[in-house]
Amino acid sequence: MRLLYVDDEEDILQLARIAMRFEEGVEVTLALSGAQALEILETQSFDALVIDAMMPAPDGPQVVAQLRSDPRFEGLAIVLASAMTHGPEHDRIVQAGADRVIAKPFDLATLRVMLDQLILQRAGRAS
Amino acid sequence: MVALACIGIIGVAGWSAYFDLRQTIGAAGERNARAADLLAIQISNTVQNASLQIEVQMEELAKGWIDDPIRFSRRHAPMLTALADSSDAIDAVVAAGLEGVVLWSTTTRIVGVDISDREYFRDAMSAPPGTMVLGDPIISRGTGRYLTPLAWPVHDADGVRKGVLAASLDVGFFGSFVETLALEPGMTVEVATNKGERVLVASLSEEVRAPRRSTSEDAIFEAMMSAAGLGGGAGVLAAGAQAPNLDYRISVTQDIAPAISDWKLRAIVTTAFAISLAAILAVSAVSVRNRQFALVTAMIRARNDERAATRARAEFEAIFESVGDSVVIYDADGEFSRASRAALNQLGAADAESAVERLLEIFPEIEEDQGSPRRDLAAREAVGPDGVVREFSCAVSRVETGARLTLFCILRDLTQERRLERARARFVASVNHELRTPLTSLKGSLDMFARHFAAGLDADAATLIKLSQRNAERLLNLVNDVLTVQAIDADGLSLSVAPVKADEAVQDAVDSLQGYADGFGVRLILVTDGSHPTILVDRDRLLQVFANLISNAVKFSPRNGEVRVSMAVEAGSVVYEVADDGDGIPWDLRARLFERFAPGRDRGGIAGAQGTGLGLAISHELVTRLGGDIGYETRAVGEIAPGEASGTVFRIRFAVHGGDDRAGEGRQGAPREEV
Repeated sequence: MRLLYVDDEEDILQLARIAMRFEEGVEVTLALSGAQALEILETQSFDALVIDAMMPAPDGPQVVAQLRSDPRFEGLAIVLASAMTHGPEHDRIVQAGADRVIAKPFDLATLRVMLDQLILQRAGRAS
Repeated sequence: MVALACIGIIGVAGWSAYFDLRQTIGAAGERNARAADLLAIQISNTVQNASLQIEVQMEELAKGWIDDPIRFSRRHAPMLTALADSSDAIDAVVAAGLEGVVLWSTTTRIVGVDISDREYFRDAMSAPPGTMVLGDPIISRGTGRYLTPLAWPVHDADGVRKGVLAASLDVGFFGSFVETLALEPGMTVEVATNKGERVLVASLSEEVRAPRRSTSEDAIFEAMMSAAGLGGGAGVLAAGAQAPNLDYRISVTQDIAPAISDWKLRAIVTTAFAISLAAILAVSAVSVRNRQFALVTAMIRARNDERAATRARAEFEAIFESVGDSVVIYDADGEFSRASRAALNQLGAADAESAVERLLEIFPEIEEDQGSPRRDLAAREAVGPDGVVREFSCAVSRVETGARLTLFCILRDLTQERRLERARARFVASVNHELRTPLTSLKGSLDMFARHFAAGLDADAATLIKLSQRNAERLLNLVNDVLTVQAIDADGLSLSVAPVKADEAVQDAVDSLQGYADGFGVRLILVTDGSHPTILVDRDRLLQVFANLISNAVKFSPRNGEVRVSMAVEAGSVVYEVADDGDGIPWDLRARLFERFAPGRDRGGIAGAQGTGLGLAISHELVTRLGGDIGYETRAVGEIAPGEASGTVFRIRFAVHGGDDRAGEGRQGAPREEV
């Protein structure tokens, strides 16, 4: 599984990198901004994307919306990580088009299981 | 004025009564005088007629005058009888000789009787020829009757005296005249000779002369009598007349009282009338006065009311103008419109009319009748007078009076409010993010360290890691709780309600809390009835409730204890239970268990046992908002019989929405050992 992990927090990226070290068969790529993520997505292919919602523009929901409008990324499983649990901002995040919105902080150990499920769902929908 | 008029009326009445009295008395006096005159003339005429008839026969009588009674009678009887019969006035005729012996009489009994001692005889004997003598009344010697004698001297042609011819006037003679006078009560007619000898006294009734009782009426009467100059005391009207050619005086007297009895009646009626008139005048004057008073009072009141109305109007104007709210009041017919200064400012209108126009532009539905007299129109954006887009809300009250529709609109500019709301939301979001991001890193790092690098660590080092993990968790819970409460209070708690698989949700919750339970050395077990129902809830919120209840149960469980989480379908409801073997909830905490910042249970001094005091309040609020209910059963230490186990069970119930709610094989979720 090729995973792109996007967060503007360096610490989070490091955490994600270490966590995925212990998951077999996961190849993680890190990006520090939405723009960087989109750039990487142009040249490389991924099975899953985990992206932080609150970032400088383009932020998580914007990136997700853009990807969801692009048929090339139809098979990409997307998880939006948000510190928001309510409010208008939360609504925007939910409506962006991600396969799952998870609240921060989340258990990185359970992330692998969730991603596998979502990839399977995507594949099933695409076929 | 009125008193004077009353006195005037009574005075006039008194004056007219006085004149009436004078006139009545005068009339009575005149009537009496006429009666006296009439009687005098009648008597005189009658007597003279009789005398004339006698005198005509006198010469013939004297020629054959004889002093022998028998011969006299034989010779003159027919003539004298005829004479007596011819005159009503003459009662009896008597002829006497020079010696006074009666020679003949219509009353035969007195023939031969000597009447020389009678005054009338002596007067007649000395009277010149051709005269008549009227004597004083006498008692007849023959009949015993009361008579008035008339006597004529009888002379022959040579003037030789022959005797006296006498006749008598009976009382009845006078009485017949008196009868024609129609006597009135109190009237007395008296006929007397000039010497004062009474010939006749006639009156109507003795009763009239009876002494009268003195009454107050009489006192007034006496007073008026003396005022009228008619002399009190006597109270008698007197009139008199001399009979012509006759030695008789006729007097008519009358008591004044009966004479003026009619006047008295009139006077009483007049007085009563005057008094009534005065009373009516006085009463109507008083009533006019009262009416005037009432009118003046009403005018004063009306003026006061007007002043109060003016004052109220001024107060209303002042309040209306100075009220901070934007108020627009107008009539749907366009007859009336008012707008407060704030409304004019907000709507950028110069006057009330244009304010109403502008208001209708922003809220075209304002006049629509939605059945409710008062409604709040949805917030609407409009360009304000400063060119900035502003947000308005409007509360409209409809007042319909007949065909007339008046609208009271309270306009609110929500722009500022919304700006504040947004600022607060941004602040919350920012705090949320700024707190959670480092916590995520911290907790993630610790979890990962504990999971992958703790093996072989010094025991104290491992304890330090666990301690850090637990406190990171605690801090995270605190942030979550405070943010949730803030969202509830701001009514900004967004619930993304969707069908949620009830068994999977609880499984996720248990999975995510395994690490926490491990930290307390507590086994966390999930048991379901094998069904797969769905419920309509907000999944994240439900997980938050589970996190609260499970972490509580873990905290209050004894070390090496067990927390049993279960799910089952019962009567159309999904029932979750979280049970622990702790000491139970002391009775004094139960009443306020679901209140915010309720006193927490003491966990025997173990660090981290105390929560924020918000967990159960939030759980209760969330479950209720999600349409479920929450309750608990507890057996506290001290309330249980020896040998029984203490503990608490929290129970949440949601209606089954769909899915497979048939119980399958019981399965027991194995606790994940991650340490």
